[in-house]
Amino acid sequence: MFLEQLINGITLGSIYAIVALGYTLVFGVLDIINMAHGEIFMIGAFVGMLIMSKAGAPLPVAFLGAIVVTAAMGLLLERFALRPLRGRPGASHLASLISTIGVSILLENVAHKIFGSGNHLFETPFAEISFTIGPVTVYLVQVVILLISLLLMAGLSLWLARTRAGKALRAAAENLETAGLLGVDTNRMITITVVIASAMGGVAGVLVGMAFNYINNQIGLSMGLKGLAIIIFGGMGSVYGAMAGGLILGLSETFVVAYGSSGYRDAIAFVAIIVILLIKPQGLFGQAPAEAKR
Amino acid sequence: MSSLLSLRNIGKSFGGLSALSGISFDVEPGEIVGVIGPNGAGKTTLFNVVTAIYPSTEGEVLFDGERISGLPPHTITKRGITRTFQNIRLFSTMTVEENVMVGRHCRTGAGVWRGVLRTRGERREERGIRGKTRELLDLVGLSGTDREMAAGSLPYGHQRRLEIARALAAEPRLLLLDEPVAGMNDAETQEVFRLIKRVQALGVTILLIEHDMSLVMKACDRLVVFNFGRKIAEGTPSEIRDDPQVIEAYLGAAERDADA
Amino acid sequence: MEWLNPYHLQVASFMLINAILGVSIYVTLSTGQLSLGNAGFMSIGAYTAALLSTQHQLPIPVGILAGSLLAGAAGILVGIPSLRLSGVYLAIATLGFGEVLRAVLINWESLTGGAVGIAAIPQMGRVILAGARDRGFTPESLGLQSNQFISLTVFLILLAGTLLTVAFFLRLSRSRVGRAYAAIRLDEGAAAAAGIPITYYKVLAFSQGALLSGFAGALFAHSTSFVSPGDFTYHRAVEILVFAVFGGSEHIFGPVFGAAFLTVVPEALRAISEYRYILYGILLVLMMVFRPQGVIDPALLRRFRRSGKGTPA
Repeated sequence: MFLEQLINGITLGSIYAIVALGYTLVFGVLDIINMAHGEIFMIGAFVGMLIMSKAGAPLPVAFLGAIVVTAAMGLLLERFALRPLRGRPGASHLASLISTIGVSILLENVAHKIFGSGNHLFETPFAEISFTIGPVTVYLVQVVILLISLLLMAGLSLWLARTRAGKALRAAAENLETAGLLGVDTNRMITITVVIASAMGGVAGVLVGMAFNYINNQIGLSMGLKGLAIIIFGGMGSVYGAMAGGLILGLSETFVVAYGSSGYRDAIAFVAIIVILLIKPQGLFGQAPAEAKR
Repeated sequence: MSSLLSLRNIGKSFGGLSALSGISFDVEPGEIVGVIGPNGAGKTTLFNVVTAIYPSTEGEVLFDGERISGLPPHTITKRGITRTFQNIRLFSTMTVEENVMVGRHCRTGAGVWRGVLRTRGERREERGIRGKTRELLDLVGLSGTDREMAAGSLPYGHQRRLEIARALAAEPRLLLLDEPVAGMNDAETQEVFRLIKRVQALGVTILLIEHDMSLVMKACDRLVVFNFGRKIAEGTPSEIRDDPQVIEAYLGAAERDADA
Repeated sequence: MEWLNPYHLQVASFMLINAILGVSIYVTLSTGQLSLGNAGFMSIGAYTAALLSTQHQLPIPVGILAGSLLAGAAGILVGIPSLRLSGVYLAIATLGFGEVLRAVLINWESLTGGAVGIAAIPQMGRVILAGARDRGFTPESLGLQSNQFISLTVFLILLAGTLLTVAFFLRLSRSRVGRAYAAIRLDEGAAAAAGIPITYYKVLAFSQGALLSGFAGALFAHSTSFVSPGDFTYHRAVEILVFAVFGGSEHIFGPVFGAAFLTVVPEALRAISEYRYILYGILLVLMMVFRPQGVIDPALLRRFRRSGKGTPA
């Protein structure tokens, strides 16, 4: 039983990690929190559901569709809600935050209009397949989720470390101005970052559908808030922090539900935020707060 | 008589980068001390350490014999040290008058209730603040300026003087001026020179960062020379002018700039 | 007085509660901080008032006072740790606080009634009517029916509360504390160098905002007679944000205008009220792109004042 909960926790944690990575990428490069990230994730889930349930297409097509749609949303978000705000003096961080809050509210309620507020069934074709290893029953779905998550995380890490574009992104994350001076097309970099982060959200959306079999228009809000908790916990802008934090949250939630009170499951993330802010505000892997510029 | 300001072995590193190292000197009451040196020598960093924008990595700062290292910025202001900024940090959408009134904050005390109820005491205090503001604007030569103007719409030279007025509103004993005549022509620089002398005559000690050598030579009683985060010389303006190390530092800097 | 429509009075009453909520987020914004937890502080005020009046039979004013003060205290507790950090951290931490609080409200059934909430809270208008009747007064003597009297009483109480709030913070903004707030908002570092204790004033503003939210919550409980966790969701927090962002975040008339406009218009135009939140979302983005300071800003007010005096300056 414990082992099965462990597997549940890891599966859930890996999905959380992917969502958190989306936040962390954008924060690293743009220094802003994209509050619409959770809703983009939700849209990914619905697109995946529509493709599989209504169009009867196989899972890979669902992933593809989710990626395409969410990447497009990321593009639109960056172009219309973020770019106009750049280069303006004043409280620009709050302005971007508020702007993305606006987008998130818009998306959530458009989804509400289209899909209603109830649960929608997310059927994974091989949901029933499982195999037993000793005392433990593992579902194929969990294995697939874990594999896809790991591939995605590994792929992202490799891309960041080895490719030219990835290094340009890291440079931009370190210091946007300097990267620009060194010849990086910062506008394109920013767009690419938001698009990749959104696409990852889309993938995570499909994965959540596979994991829980039901989706509704509230998952964006709850996942969005948890993703925030994770990056604050793990350290904003830290890739390792997002991954570790996601895993820890997934495990904590699973065990609290299994052995404690399920009602408070969603509150764990927020208690974590508050505790971390008290003890180590920069998060587990974050850097000490930057000292005032000269 | 103890010095007003005592810097004892101040060091400051940012990550691996050492911005200040082994800085020790004193400032006596009533003096005007100039801090000079090539760009990037650590002069503004020193001001930031003294006013606690960030802590020093080593050493300590003593003000009037008491250790002020570790105190928060507003407490240091209240103790009697204020400053202006290299890149002018006025409250640009507040009026000229309001900027100076804000400077008076730590010398007044009306809180939420007295402010909302407009008690007799609070109204008297506000009148006092406005009176003092008018005095200071006169002192810095802005008496002709519309007090209701947004500070950000003042001409550049007036903005610098307004910042000085704000810094003086807290009745400091030590005033730190960071490049007060940067970007000014000779006439404006002369006016600021006279202003600095007026401020000194009021009993305020001044620590001055400047690149304008004519101002520095005329105004300062003593000079401290920085290069690469270290103090390389200290003395009267005439001593410093002939100091070979100082000449080397500036020539070296000029060469570096030329190569770049 | 047949034109005194209880429904209109109710809408006006909600508008006033929203105005107080708008001011609550404005107060913290005036120091440059964004709090997304005001729905949570509102719930503290509401539930405190509800519990004190239903469980302990304490008079309504006591509940309102206690609810406000408790919310303000919670504001201090939440504010202190979060304020050491940048504004984004505060926004998220307050968001988290609101969600934790809502989880507590839903799960601590013995105290809060769980998801069902608390009903039969003494309604201000009804209580006053009953008290007046005891003294031989009848609303008919004023030409009013009972329900008109009740709605009117509630409206007048809320009006008084709103006017008091606006007057208080208007005065504050023109005082020494108000200048400190503005300085902090414009440039924290320069404000600290000028001698202003930043943390103290940020926590002060934050707790004032929390107290106001609690005040609004308590008034809400005693107007609608029923509270449940569903009244204090993240959506409520965003709605409050929209009042200030749309109406204007640089002058106290801004959130009041925002609350008035955004409460009344959806009621008047039934067709759009279904799309209310979608419009809120679009509005937030548009305002940030085109007019981040909101509709009512100091420049606009100055032009009104000048045209009021006849000749332009």
